[in-house]
Amino acid sequence: MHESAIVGNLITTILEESEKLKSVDEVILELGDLTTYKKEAIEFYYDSMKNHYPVLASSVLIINVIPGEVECLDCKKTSIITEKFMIFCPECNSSNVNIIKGRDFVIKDIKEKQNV
Amino acid sequence: MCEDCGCEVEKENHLEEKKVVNVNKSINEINDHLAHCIWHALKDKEIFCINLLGSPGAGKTTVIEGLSKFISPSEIAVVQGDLESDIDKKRLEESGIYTYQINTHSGCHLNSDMVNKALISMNLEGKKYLIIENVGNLVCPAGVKIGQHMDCVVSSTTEGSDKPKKYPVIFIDASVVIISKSDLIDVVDFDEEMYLRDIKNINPKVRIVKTSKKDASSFKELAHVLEHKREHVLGHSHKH
Ligand SMILES: Nc1nc2c(ncn2[C@@H]2O[C@H](COP(=O)(O)OP(=O)(O)OP(=O)(O)O)[C@@H](O)[C@H]2O)c(=O)[nH]1
Ligand SMILES: [Mg+2]
Ligand SMILES: [Zn+2]
Repeated sequence: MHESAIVGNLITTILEESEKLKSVDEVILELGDLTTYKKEAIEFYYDSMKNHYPVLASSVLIINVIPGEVECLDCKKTSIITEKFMIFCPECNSSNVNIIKGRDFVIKDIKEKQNV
Repeated sequence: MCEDCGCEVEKENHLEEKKVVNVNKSINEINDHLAHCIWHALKDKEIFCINLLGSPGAGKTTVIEGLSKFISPSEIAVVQGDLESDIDKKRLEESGIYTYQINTHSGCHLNSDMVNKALISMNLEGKKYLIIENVGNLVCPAGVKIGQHMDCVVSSTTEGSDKPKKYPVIFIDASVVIISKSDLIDVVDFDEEMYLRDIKNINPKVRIVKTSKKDASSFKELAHVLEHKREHVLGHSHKH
């Protein structure tokens, strides 16, 4: 549902950043597992909106989902959480943790394939 | 023959090169930058900014009304985010609270641009608290920065005690969770023990406060908690 707005932002940024490319073929994204955005919904809206922009028409999104990761303030270890939204240290069970990964949605790279 | 394009070059010799633009930008970068500016501008003015979140009808406006019995209404400014109408603005003005109404029309949450535009046209002289009542919604406003110093989620007993499990994202950033309509705990069989356990799994550091419209004094503890959080944020430099 609200992914339609975020895909609008995504397309704006891709268009700005890809000025030097003839066409956009792949867009590499990192999507945090602890955000409100769903991978499938982003793909759905992107595929229906990209055709309005010739430079994006043949592009695909490659979305890497980044699991939640915590840094434990007690045992100092960093770990991927064992279950989505269970925010504690899997090593020592402490709840005294900071979430260090899984909260962001980032555009990493935009690629153009060049056939020589 | 190359299977991909039909050219005469053997697959192995078919040079496929990619031009790459390394972007490395958050999709919310523009919003987050403006939110950062609002965060600092309000801190410099010693105005503590609270993002008040919760479902439609959770009791967000009632909480602000309740607080105004323990924090002077003259020290509170409110930004009201609703899809339509200025009903909540009128309600708060009856309690003597300075309120600015934003109508998002179809927008399911506030963003920092909307808040910034509101702040530009508001007079915050003498205010200690800016409470932003976000659009009633447990999903879309989660994680969207609007310049707030803290998130406060209003979660009413009538919504059921399974909400932390079903809508964890809204609870993850909350500094304070208000269990509102606590007068109805027994009426709706609200399982408080389970609720507290589930919420601590998602957000172990959260402070939980119970309020009831039927008991004006229940907002006193909340007022104290907010005062404390205000001093903590405004007294410490550049930590967010
Ligand atoms: N019994 C009881 N009713 C409450 C309490 N708090 C709020 N209500 C009622 O719940 C309804 C919604 O309260 P509001 O404060 O308008 O809720 P809101 O979250 O601001 O609603 P929206 O802005 O429309 O999303 C009203 O009819 C209130 O009278 C409470 O503590 N106990
Ligand atoms: Mg309201
Ligand atoms: Zn640990």
